[in-house]
Order: sequence, then C-alpha cells, then structure tokens
Amino acid sequence: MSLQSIYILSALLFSIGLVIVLVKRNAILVLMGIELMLNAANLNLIAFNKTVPASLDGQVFALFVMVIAVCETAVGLAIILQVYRHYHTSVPDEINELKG
Amino acid sequence: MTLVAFLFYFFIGTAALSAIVLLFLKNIFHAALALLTCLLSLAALFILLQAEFLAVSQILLYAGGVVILIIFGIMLTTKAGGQAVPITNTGLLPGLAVGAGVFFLLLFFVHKSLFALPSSAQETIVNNNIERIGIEILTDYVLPFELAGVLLLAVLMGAATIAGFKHVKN
Repeated sequence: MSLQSIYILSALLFSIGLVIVLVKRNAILVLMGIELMLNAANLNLIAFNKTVPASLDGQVFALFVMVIAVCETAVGLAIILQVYRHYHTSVPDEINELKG
Repeated sequence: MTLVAFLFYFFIGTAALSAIVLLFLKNIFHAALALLTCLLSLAALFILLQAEFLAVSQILLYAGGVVILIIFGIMLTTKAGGQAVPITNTGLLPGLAVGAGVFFLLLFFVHKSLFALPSSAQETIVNNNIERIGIEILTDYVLPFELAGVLLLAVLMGAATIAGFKHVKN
C-alpha cells in the first residue's frame, strides 16, 4: 500500500473533473465535475494526513471541505432549478438574455 | 498480496474507472450513478487510509445527500414525457488536451517529488481516530465549526428561498 498510487488517482480524478467542467453542456453535469475535483483534493488531504500520525489536521480540513461542498451543491441546484423555470433549459449556452 | 492491499488497489481501480466512464456517458442519470460509484469507492479508500469518520461522512453526505439532490435535480429539469436529454459536448478535443496536460503536469510533480511527497504511510499507534476528531473539532477548530453551523443555516434558508415557489404578482 503505497501512497504514490493515491496521489496518481487524485491527479486523475482532478483532471477528469476539470474536463467535465470545461466540456459538458449541462449545468448539472458541471456540478458533478466540481464535486469530483473537491473529492480529489479531499483524498490528497487524507493521504497526506496518513504520513503524520500525531495530528489529525488533514482529516478535519477534509471534513470542512465536505461541508462546504454540500452547501455549494444545494445552492447550485436551487439556482439551476430556478433558471430552468425561466428558460425551460438547463444548458448554460442557451441562456443568453439578462432580463427574465 | 494481502487482502488489504488487494482491496486498496481494487477500490483505486473502481474509482478511476467510474470517473472515466462518467466522462463519456451520454445519459445524465447514468452519469449520476457513475458518480455515486466513484464516491463510494473513495469512501472505501478513506477507511483503508484510517479515516473512518470521514468515510462515514462521505457516505452520509455524498451518497445520501449530494447524489440524491442531483438525481432530484435531474428529474425536475428533464422535460415531461420521460425523454432523457442527451448530454452534448463543446470543444471536446481542446478540453481533453487541457485535462491531459493538467494530469501529466501533476504526475510530473508526483514523480519528481518537487514537494518532497512522503510515499510510505506511517502506522498509526493510536487508532481511536473518531474520539480524537471530536476533541480536535471542539478545541482547536471550534471557530470553523461554529462558522460551518452558521453557513449551513444560511444555505438552508437561501436554497429554500431561491428554489421555492413564488406567487406571481400582477
């Protein structure tokens, strides 16, 4: 069990999340990509914490990251829902007028 | 290879595979299920990395909260008739190029160990991590903890206000 593979997995998850955010044309999928990137960061924090057994700072930090991520998803989905009611689409490119 | 090592690499494999599948799926509901698989594999990895409390929180918050929220969002934003809207891509090749660039850059840093990454895990002597996390949260981290409570209240009210039904005034 080497932590090297954890670092590689974390890099992979982060890049995939980045590609999803950049490429996909659906607001909900973009939110999923952001979740993936936050999870990659969390995984790294916990792996780093494994090398310092005396402290739990990494795990507590990851816990707060998780709380913030959940808040962000809730507000993001609420906004997507409201946008969908106005424009009847959840594709960000088709929302191109400012006055509702 | 011991059972623990086998499980370690198995869950690394499932997490990586489900993330790659998530990138190429066309159906958004299947994408949500792939995300769920990825998050649950990460929870298993957290247990193997001796972060049991975070693993339980991961299952509760992500598998039980975020993915359910996302699935509700998908159901509320697809048009009536059950026809799933296919996911389309814009600029797939440049996006993949950027992602591959970031990935290989990170790999380069990991291999060169520019940040002197420690590669071998220390064995923990004290294994009552949950009790220690509780003590840490209520002593060293009490200010972020209370702020997280205020943030959660604000998010609860904000999300309910934004998503709630508004009466149209004439």
